[in-house]
Amino acid sequence: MITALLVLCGVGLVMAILLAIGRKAFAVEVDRKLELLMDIMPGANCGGCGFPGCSGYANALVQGSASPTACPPGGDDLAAEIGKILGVDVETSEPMVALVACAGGDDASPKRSVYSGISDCKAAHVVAGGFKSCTHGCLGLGSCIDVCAFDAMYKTENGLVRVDPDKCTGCKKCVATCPRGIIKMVPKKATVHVLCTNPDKAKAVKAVCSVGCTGCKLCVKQSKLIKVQEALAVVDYDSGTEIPDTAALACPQAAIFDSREYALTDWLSNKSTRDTFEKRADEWKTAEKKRKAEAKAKATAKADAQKANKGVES
Amino acid sequence: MNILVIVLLAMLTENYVLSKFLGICPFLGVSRRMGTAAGMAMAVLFVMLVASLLTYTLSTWVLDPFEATYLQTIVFIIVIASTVQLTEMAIQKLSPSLYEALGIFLPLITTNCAVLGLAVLNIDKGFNLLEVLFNAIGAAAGFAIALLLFAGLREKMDTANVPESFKGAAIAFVTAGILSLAFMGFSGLAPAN
Repeated sequence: MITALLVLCGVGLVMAILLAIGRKAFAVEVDRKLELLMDIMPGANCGGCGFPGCSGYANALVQGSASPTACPPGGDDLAAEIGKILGVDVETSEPMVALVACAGGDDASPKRSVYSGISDCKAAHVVAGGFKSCTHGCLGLGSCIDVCAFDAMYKTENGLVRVDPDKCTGCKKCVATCPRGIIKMVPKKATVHVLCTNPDKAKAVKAVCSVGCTGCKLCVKQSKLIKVQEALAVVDYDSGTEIPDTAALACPQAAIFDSREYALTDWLSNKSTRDTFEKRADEWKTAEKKRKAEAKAKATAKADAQKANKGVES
Repeated sequence: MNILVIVLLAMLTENYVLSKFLGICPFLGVSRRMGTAAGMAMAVLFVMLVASLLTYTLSTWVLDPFEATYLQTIVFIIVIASTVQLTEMAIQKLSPSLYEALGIFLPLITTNCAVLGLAVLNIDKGFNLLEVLFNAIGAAAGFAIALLLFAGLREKMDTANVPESFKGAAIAFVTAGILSLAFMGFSGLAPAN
């Protein structure tokens, strides 16, 4: 007992002295800024900045090769603090969050085959483009959930994955992981999104999913911020996020989601939400038709009146 | 035992990585680039040499006389951890770029089982000081050979047309397995005793 204590203490003491000497002998001067920066880093080592961990980012900041706004979890607050330490002005940026751009749950885009392999999206995707009828749709196996360091992703009842925008820090790890490439970075304040990434033509899309974008351009008439590329509507977030709710109502496929009216969690999976949406969409479409008919009638009446006037003059 | 035999055994026949499967973590972790692999091999060589000599000295002149050999594992770990710390400080001072390249794997030598395995095997085999020295050199050389061979293979694999599902870690593990099989060919070198 005593021997054990003495031996261990002795060895420990000798090693401690050696280390103390080594520290003096090999002392490296660390930049004061680096120490300060390390103190304020989030410490999640998520790699969202593109550098190996928080210390890598801090190093790059000191060397001036990184932008103070590159840390997604830190956000504007951290950027401001970094700016203070480095003595530079920092332009705050719009916070971005991840969005799984797919609404085709099990009910909307049924499985075309039974997959019993590894429960991982990448593995499932390699096997003939996945088990889902839509080859762009969310497989829902949750590879993105596994890589999320902030517990911001979860599965829904109808076999999709959703992001909690309040927990999402915008580190883009899920974007890089998704083999389908359907996770997009969108401004946190944006409310209207196209929940489809299938660029195929209407017939092909309808064959595999009941809520896929067909590229009909009805939404484009409601807002200039939505553009149709190939046969897919895309929101141009760079130009703005102010899109009227009529864009969602105008979509015959219910492929456009509006977070001002509905929760993304049970969007289309919950029967009552779906019914409410369809009812509102129908009402709006009827009203729109009426308005158009009235406008047309007015225009015809005006033209008739003009004709009549001309007749009088001649 | 003949010094040459000890070196050859530690380096090839009983290669710490490919035959004893010790130190797999840095073997897979820092084998992506030849440069870092070489740096890691040098760091391990230094730690193995210093740690072997220190642990041997301690075991012979402290643990044995005090009949405290049951403390072997914990004392060896203390010695190895301290040696690694010293090495880390030295590398940070002398070669910051190597320090950057090795990153987390430098402090991880602390838990590199090849180093502890070597220290324990030195004692188990009943070597004297000279034999311990050469066993350490052999083991470190073996580690370096395995690491550099593997790093070379992985650099080639970067440009090879690997099937999608095998890319990255999967093909690396398969290659490591084949490399290990190849090293079984050296078993004929072992002297019959």
